[in-house]
Amino acid sequence: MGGFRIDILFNAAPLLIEGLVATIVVSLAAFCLAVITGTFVGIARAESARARRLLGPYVEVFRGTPLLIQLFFIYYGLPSIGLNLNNYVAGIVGLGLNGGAYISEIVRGALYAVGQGQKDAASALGFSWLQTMVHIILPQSIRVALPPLVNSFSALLKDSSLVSVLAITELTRVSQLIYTRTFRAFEVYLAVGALYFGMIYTVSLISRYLERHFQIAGRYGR
Amino acid sequence: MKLGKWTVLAAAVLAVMVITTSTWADNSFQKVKERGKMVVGLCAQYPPFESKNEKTGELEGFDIDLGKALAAKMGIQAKFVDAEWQGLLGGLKKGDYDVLITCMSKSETRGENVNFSDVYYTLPDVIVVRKDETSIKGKADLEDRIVGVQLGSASEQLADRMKDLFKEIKRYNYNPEAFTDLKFKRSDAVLVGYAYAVNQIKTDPSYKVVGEPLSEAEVVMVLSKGADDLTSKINEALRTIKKDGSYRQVYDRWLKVD
Repeated sequence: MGGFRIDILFNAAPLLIEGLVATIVVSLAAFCLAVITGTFVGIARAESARARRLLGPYVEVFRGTPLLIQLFFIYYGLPSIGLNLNNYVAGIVGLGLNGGAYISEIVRGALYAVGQGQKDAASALGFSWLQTMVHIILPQSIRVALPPLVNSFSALLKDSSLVSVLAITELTRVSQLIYTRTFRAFEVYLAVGALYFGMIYTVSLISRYLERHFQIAGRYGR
Repeated sequence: MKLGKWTVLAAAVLAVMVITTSTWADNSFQKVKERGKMVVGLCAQYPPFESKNEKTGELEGFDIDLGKALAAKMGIQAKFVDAEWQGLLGGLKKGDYDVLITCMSKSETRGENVNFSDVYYTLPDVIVVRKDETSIKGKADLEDRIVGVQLGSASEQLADRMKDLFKEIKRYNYNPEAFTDLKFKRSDAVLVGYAYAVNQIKTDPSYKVVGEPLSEAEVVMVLSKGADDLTSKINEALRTIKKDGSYRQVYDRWLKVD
């Protein structure tokens, strides 16, 4: 025993990188899906009462059940009714739809932060609905949505460890595999924790830049 | 007499039909043969049966070499896929794997509707304690102790059968966690397959095996229900490699204890 065995990490570097790549691929793809779904659902539910009712169950179901159950259901359950997804696709769809449910509420809340008067003014000026959204509402909403979106991303990235139940060798699974062989819990989990932290911190830095970019004079958040 | 002849003939025809349909009805082997490879599912957290070499990143162990030897006898290749233990049977049912070769015992399939190959290894379950432990020498000394087992394993079923004896059964997702808890004195003993225990002690000599083996698990390969053709081809290949010495070679490489 004794001592910090850094050599274990060097030896396992190729395996760690393999896991890291899988985690990044799955998380980024899922986050893109989540942002797209979340934006559409969020805008629809903010703009129309009927869409709010129609899409309500999607948000409630994905928010109201554990992600692990959703993944098991999508991958192992759906084939019974003829929908047989590949494991990466199932993982990305599960993570993405789950994240999308949360993000749709962020988007809805961010839209509500813009005063109704601006919409009325835009329509008085002859802006179409799409023009109003793209040029007036969304630019102001983004600055409100950014901090909670980074929350969502970090949650999603960490949740991606659950896709290991679909036989995807991502970072957490790799750490288990190395631990099984080396028995060095301290080194292995410290290193894997640092890798997760590094990824999420990078995104935090990017968001800091974006927040400054979308800064509006005279509003909170200098 | 004449009627008797016809009856015999009819019975014979019927018998032939039954035999041929029962062997030809399922194309499990033909499918694998056409693909040229058999997909083997396993959970690479059980050395020396299967684990991922942390330096090369390759899967290795008894089950890997066994799978390769069997595939070679059947004139195909074997492709190994690592998955979580809890997802293996679901994946088999879904068609992700042709066969599970992952040191799974008959009882570990928990009555799922599956095919078994012949028993390819008999694995005794043993008691493992800390090396400096002097008060536990066998099963009787486990009374009122905390015992660790891996979730969904034959050892867990064994512990459940004896549960009145223990103070508590701690269930872990995987054996390594059970061993860590034992080492840091958060449990008193681990019940585990003998080969795993030996391998564990080789990596970290802070444990020892005590007492007589508690029970023997019949380790089999697990296939989808109805994949009878592939099952019989695998059994045939297993008999062949047992006869020609290649089973012995694989055994000596991974499981021989000196």
